[in-house]
Amino acid sequence: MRRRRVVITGGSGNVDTGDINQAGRLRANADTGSGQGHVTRAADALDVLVAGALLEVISRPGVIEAMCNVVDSDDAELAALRAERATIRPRLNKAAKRYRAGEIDDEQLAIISKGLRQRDNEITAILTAANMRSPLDVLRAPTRSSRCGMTS
Amino acid sequence: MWDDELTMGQKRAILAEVLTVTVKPTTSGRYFDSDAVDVELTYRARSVIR
Repeated sequence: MRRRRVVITGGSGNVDTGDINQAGRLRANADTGSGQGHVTRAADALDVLVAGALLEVISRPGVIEAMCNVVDSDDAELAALRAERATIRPRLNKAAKRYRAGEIDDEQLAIISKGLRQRDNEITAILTAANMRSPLDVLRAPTRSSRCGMTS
Repeated sequence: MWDDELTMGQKRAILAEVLTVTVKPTTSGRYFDSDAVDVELTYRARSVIR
């Protein structure tokens, strides 16, 4: 197995050396200058404990669907935001026409334009965040079947 | 599926979504001590898991 050497500077100012294996796990061997190591980090046992706890939780019936549906429950609000965003460009164009017709001045046009563009950015940020699916989505049965080309 | 199909990144993302793991210092001198590991549901997970 190929290993990559690393150098770690500890809080005590000691320089420790260790390596990272291909699984990304760190094993560090400390050199305190006295010849006695004081850091040993073997994460395998912790990985097993955490993975076991995680699998126990997500194996409970309905948990994966419930976690994924936290995002899905916001659909009505997201639809309202999409509708609002669709009005922004027409409202900007309307303000431009009113400016050209002399109904509003430079300052008023700037205020309208800045406000609408700011709102557009806010909505875009909200929709972008909302479109990020739960990472548990890959565990959902329909998604998995679709991804794997299987029929249910 | 967990072992065979998911990437390490996917596993980490799922872990971060479901659990908060805190490893406290131990007095035994060993890095790993199960009594020093707190495994809690995240706020998001608590809100949907009864």
